[in-house]
Amino acid sequence: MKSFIIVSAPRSGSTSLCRILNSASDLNVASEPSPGLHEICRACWDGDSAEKYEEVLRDTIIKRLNVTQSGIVYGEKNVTYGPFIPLLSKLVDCVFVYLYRDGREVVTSLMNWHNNQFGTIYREAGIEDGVTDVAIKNSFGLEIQNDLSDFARPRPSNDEMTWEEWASLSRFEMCCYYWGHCNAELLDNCRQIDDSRYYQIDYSTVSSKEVSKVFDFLGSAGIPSDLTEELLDKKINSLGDRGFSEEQLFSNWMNWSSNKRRQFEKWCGSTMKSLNYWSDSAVNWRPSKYGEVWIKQFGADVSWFEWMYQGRELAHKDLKAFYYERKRGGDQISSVCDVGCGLSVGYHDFFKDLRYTGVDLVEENIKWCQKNRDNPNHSYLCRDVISEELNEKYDLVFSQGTIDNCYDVNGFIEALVMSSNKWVYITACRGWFPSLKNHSYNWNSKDGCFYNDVSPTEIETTLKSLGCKNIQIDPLKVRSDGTGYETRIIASVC
Amino acid sequence: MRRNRLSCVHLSNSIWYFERLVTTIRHSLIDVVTLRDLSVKNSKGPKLAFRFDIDIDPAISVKMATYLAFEGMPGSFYFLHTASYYGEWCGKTFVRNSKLRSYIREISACGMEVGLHNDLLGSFISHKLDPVDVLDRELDWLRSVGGDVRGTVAHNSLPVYGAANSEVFSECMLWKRKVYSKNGILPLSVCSMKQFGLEYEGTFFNAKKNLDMNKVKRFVGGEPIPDIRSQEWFYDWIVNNPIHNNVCDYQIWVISKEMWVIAGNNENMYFKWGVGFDDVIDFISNVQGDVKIMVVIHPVYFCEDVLV
Repeated sequence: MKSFIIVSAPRSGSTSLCRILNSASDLNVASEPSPGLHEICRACWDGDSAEKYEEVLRDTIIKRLNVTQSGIVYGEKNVTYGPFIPLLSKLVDCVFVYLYRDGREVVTSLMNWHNNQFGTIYREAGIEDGVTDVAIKNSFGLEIQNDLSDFARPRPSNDEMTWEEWASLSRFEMCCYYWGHCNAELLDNCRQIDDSRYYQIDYSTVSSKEVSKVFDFLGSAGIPSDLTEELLDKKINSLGDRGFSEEQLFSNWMNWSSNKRRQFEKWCGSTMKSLNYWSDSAVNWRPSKYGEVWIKQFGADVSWFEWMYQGRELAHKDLKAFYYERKRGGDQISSVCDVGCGLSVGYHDFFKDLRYTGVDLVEENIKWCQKNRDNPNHSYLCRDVISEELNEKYDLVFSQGTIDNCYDVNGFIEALVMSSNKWVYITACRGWFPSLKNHSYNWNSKDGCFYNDVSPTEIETTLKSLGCKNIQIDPLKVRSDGTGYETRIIASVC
Repeated sequence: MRRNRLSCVHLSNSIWYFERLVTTIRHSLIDVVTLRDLSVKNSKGPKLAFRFDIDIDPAISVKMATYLAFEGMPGSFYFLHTASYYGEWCGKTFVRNSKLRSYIREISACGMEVGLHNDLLGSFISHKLDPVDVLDRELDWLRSVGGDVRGTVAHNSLPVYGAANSEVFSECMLWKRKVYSKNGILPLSVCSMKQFGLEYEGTFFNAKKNLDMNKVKRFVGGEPIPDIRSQEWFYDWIVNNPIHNNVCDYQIWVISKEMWVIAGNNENMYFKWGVGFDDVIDFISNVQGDVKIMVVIHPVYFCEDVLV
């Protein structure tokens, strides 16, 4: 058994792993022993070579790693050790455990850590909305020269961006930079040493089984799995575990706006792919339980779909009027695609003379349609259009009240545009939001779907970027008394 | 918006110049501390503190604080209670500027020290305000907003009022006398720092014993004419002052565009006038021993590209 070092970005679960490992009788694991190497860590982030600090490492961490105790293996963890992995591996016979967590969860945690309680993450970002008075007061109480944690966080070099550019970023973006940069370096540094000397663990999906593999890697007898489960359930070092308010002042990633998603993608996209959280970019923002509500509750329930159709009669009338108008103007529409068709209520007969394809996420719905809608010109496909291409193009691709529940509004629009020869017609049934600059996503974990408020401005930008013309985005009256509006989106595809 | 008067006369540097200064000092490995820590006696090793006298331009001070936070270095920021950015009199009521609170909070949130730039004699002369009342009110307010205020720095120099603003404190009285103003005898030695929870006065004057009253009279009377850009006056004020010595071994002041003064005290008699950035860095990088350096910055000297 060799001494070991746990490396990670902060808020990833290293304290939790540290305590779980320390519960084993043959391990002694120290969490952030002093001195914490904050200054040299920052120096390395700033471009210094790790080799310059060999003496410091020998006087601190290496000394501790070399202390032997019969039958007990020593390990320690600190977020400042990342830059020194290759050098440490040369200087001491130890192994590394590289722990990581989904960047979206880490960034959310960093923001809540800052906003709820500590107020000291990337202090140059200043006081933003959403910070509690407690956090602000705590920031006043910690003078910068004593705030080694904040000092040790990486900042970009002048080659990456100027100070002015960095200072113009929000704290959210700085935290995204932190996670992306830190994990990219950790991965890179681990890959510079022999495979056998490090073990990677994904703490986003950690289970007692995964932790037992870490024990095995370390050569430890470990602890009973139910004890591991118990410790994992405790969410060690969360705000709640530390006795602080767990109010989610900063929303989890499922409720990030499209702008925040873009910012995260910019700073973390490539590292998310390197860590295999993202493979196919189309489903990056799809939560694991997405779509459950339709599958479990409304799959193939004709009465529900008929009720839904009747409740939006004006909206359906408008689409039909659009079709007739195209026809009258000599614009031949001979094929249509209905995305989010459900049981194709109202449209299987309206488009009975056309080539019609109904697409839905729910297999049960598609099977019902295939069985009960027997028009030979009609076909039904079970597809997530955002991630799976339709292999055909249609003159008109339409979608009624589905964009509101999708996991990627712009991805949804792109998918419809890519499947169209001529026109797209989309309605967002949650309302008309002219003042929204970016789409607002609201995840409902109970329903397993999103309730999105779509931004007309962002829709227009997306359609233009896809080369669409004749773009029309306006409020659609859906109640005869004028009290309800939806968002109607029409565009021609070049 | 109005362009600040210094940039109109090309006396100010860009904010980038300040950023370069901070980054270079950070890499010089000198221990940078708050003014409060600089005031601690018997400290070991060379120490440097940034003192920001915010006479005008609090907005640029916030930028400076954020850059210091980026580099993990402390600074001590002093707000002048008689400045127009701080507040104004509406009849008999003093109304603080609505933005002042956010300036203080932003600077405090960066982990900087915050204090009062003391012009108590000025407010006595202009409005006959009792310095004890003003101190009580303003320190209370500053502390309520955020700063853990432990120190003050006197505004102006002694010849301006005939006494230094620091002399309202009994601990800082330079010599016993009466000074007359249009509103009566100046309130000197009327309170102690301790009663307000203050630990230091950041001009660090150390009253001399056995004053040469002829020299004192000449200095107080304006010989040479008090002017921060007068080499002769500056030397008499900091290095060879007839009234007080200075606890700080060296002071480094920016007084114009790419123009600094490095001044020692009575003990070392060091004086370099009109030096540039490289000389300042060179000096800081080569100090040895248990030396205290105070870098005095008026943020207005870094407003070249900022409109206020």
